[in-house]
Amino acid sequence: MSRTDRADQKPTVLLVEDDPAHAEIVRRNFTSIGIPHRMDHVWDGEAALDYLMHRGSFGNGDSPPRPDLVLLDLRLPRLGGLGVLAAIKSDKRLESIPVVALTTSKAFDDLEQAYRLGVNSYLVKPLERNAFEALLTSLGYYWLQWNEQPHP
Amino acid sequence: MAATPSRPWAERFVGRATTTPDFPHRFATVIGIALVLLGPIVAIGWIFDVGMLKSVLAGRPTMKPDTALCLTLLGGALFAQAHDAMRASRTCAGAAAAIGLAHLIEFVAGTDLGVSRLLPIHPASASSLRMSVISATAITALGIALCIDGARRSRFTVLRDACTIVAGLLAIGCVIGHLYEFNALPSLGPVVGAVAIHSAAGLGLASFAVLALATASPLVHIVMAKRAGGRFVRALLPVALLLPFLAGWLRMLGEEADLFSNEIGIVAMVLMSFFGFAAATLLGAARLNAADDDLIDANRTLESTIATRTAELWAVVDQLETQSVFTRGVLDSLSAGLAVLDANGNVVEVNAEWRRFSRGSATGPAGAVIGSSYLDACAHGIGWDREDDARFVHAGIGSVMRRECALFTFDYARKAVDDTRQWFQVRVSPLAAKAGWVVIANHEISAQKSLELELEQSEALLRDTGNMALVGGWELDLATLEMRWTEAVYRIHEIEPVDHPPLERAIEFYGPEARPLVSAAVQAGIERGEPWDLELPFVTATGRALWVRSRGEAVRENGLTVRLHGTFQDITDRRRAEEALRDREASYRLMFEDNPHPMLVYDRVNLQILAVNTATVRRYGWSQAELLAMSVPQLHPPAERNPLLDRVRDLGGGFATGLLWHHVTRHGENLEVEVSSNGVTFEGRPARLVLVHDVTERNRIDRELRAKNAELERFTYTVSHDLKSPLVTVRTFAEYLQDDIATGDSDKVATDLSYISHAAERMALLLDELLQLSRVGNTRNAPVLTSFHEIAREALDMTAGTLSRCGAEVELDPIDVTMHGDRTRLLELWQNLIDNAAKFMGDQPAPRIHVGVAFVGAEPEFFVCDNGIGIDPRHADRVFGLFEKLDTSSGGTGVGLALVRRIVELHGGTIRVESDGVGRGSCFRFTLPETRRSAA
Repeated sequence: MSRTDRADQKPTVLLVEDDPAHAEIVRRNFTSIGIPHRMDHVWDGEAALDYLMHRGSFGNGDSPPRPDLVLLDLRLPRLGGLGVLAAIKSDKRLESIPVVALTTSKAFDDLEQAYRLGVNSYLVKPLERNAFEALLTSLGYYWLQWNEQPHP
Repeated sequence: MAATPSRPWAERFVGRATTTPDFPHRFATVIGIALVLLGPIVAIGWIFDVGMLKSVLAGRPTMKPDTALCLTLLGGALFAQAHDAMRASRTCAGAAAAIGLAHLIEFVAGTDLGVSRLLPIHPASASSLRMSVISATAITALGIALCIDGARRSRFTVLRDACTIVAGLLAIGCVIGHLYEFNALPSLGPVVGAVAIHSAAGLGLASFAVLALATASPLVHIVMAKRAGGRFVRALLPVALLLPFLAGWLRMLGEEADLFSNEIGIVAMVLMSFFGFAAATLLGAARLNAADDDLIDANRTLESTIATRTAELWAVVDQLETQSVFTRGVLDSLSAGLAVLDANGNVVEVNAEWRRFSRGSATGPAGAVIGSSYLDACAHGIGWDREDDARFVHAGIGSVMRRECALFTFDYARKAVDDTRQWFQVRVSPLAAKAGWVVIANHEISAQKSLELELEQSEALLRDTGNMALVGGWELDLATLEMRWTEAVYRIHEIEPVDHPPLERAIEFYGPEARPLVSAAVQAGIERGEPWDLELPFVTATGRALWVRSRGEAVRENGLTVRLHGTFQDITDRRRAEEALRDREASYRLMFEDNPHPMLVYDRVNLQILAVNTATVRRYGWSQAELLAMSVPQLHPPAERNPLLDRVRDLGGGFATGLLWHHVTRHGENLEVEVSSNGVTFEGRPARLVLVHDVTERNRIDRELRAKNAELERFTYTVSHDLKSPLVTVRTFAEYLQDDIATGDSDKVATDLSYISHAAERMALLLDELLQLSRVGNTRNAPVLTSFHEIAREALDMTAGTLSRCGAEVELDPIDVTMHGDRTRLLELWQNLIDNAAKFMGDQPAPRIHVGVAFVGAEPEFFVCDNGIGIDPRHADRVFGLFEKLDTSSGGTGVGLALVRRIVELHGGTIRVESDGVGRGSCFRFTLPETRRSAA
């Protein structure tokens, strides 16, 4: 993928979520807001890093694009969300990618730790569908349409 | 001592200055004897008419008999004077002078007094027997001279010298006349030629002898002095006397023999005289130089001696000055006024205090002036407030002066300048060194005097207060066995005062247990004179129980106790107060000693531990003695010592509480302590009282609680997250479902419904497992005896469904062990582990599970191993966390292994997982010590 044709590309969202139902909800909402995008879903922290660093199962053949947004659940198998966050923010090539924590936990420790590691936003999944949808819609518009970010 | 060194040089110089008397006396003695013998020889000549004896040479004048007598008399006088017999000398000399004088009178008057015929030897005519006028003059002069003592200086000394010189000149002249045989002096010939040769020689020698004896004569002194002048004269004089005589004689002889002319003779005589005098002068000068050298030597010796002596004198002066300053300083620094009076009562010396005292006198200075009469001042009362005092002191001084008494003292009062009354004591004592002299010392005794007065008053007061304070005195005369009590003693006994207290009953007032003590004390007092001081129970005549203090001592004479006396006091109140105090003190002590908290007191200055209670000894492990030898910082770990010192300094004597420190016990145990302390005074030292609250256990529990709380919080969040997740799913998809039904999208309905049912199932499973987990801690079943194989087999039965689904082959190790525990929990343990192994088999074509036990030492270690997907060693410690899942593809909830760990820990064991990595199987190994302990 070349830099020049990148502007024509649809923005890419990497969703890291171990709950298939939740992943489905996010996908449906992002589709419904009508902004063209590509959404890639991985199930755990290790897979997320493999995706970002083009290794493991993502290391051969068609490498996945650099995502424009990472939606990160914190409670993940194998490698937790905070571990993924720390790896992204300590990598010079990845640190500028916006990472939004999207989780059901409002544990104080997690919140603190996430911001200390440089998370760009921390969101708690609301129980009501309307609220969840409103949040995901705003999230989509905000990060995919309004927010400007430096090109790597 | 100072005079001793002076003696050698004094002797030396006195000795040098004195002329030696030996030679003149010996000379005079020899001449005297010669003259005495000459007289009789001449007399024999006259009697037997021997010409040689009468005139020596034929044709020369003869010595007349009376001349011979006079020479004998003069010889006797010389001999006598040479032997200090002045009376004999005067008698002989006087007689000679009288004869001589008689002849002179005969010559002058031209009459014949018949003096020449005094002697019966005169065969020839009277005129031819008469002595010449020159002989008479010389004899008279020598007679007079010898009547005067030559050794003593008097107004006749000049007369003596004059007479002697006259006699001597006449005699020498006659001798010269004989030598020259009158040729040279023809005009004098008849006169001088009238004297016989031996008369002239005898008179001449006598003159020299008389001069030699004239030691007091200035003239002779000049010649005889052992000084430079004397030496010079002695050198020159013989030449001066003999040279012209010799020269003249030689010239005459030469001229008579016609050897030379008259002119040449004169020239030769002058030259001879000239060289002779020059030689004599040189000899005299040499003697003078020698004398001068002696003098210089003597001066030099004298100078050095004077210098030494002066230095010695200065040293003595310095010493005396120092002594004087010291003595003066000592005297002036005395607080007593001192004065020395001479035998007349005059002040000879006073010190500074005496002068000050005299100035302070209300009636003006008296006795301070050295030289004034102190006795008079006393006699007239000058300087004294009371004339009676003055007169008394006057009498006292008098008696000491007369040595009637060795010391006189007198106390008197005086009004000071500021009108206060002062008491003084005057002491008069004799000055040993000087008869009649006395030393008066005057010093202020106001303080003693007021004490004495106070004592008198307090004695009176004592009598009064004795009764009030119930202190009495008693006395027992051992000779008469008579006892005396003061009023207070009767009052304590509660009996009426009588003349003689009941000696035999006195002992009965003491309590029965006290009686032997009293008897022993009294006996010791009588036999050995030992004093006693006892506090004893006592019962009064009316039956009141008291405590009394009995003190006694013995008065002994010649080693025998003659009397006992002492005091007797009712101390009941004091005893009671003391007992109360003791009780209170004991209870306070109890509060310290038996306080369950460690308590200690330490010195605020050097931090030394001063007291500790039993709790401290128990808690810290040191003995009390060891602790008392330690200081507070030694209880603290080294890092805390400096902050502690700062803290103690800041606190001073203040109160402090809730200070958190660390203490280290003897056995090195670290204690967390909360310290309260307060400033106190302990045994007179500034100290701090410390109460130590050991909070080690409390803090440990506190920390555990905090850890548990944190764990609980994490658990709550985790549970809420994992429970909320399916809930969000159910609610959201339920609404999607509504949309699906509204749009009639039946495919989507099925999908959405599956999400919902899946979430619901998950939730049910989750809740079930959480319930199981909560039971592990809360529900306990009675422990039963079972075995590893029994449990394992049952667990395998229960998981048979899962095992058959994955097709795993299970191997149970043949080794078995007995177990004792909660059977339900143990079943859950193996069931979950086998379930877990079956669940994570992955795509293993030949799945295998191995269950067994291995011994590590005595402790059995159980294991459940598989050849499934294994675990990345990085995540090995996470597998036991609640809701931790390493693989989303499996259907686990993340509770199973948390439950397993819980059960293992509940049985006091540990669990770990071993895996060589992903795809290489895993092995869970764990111990269960509790089951073994209770089984055995």
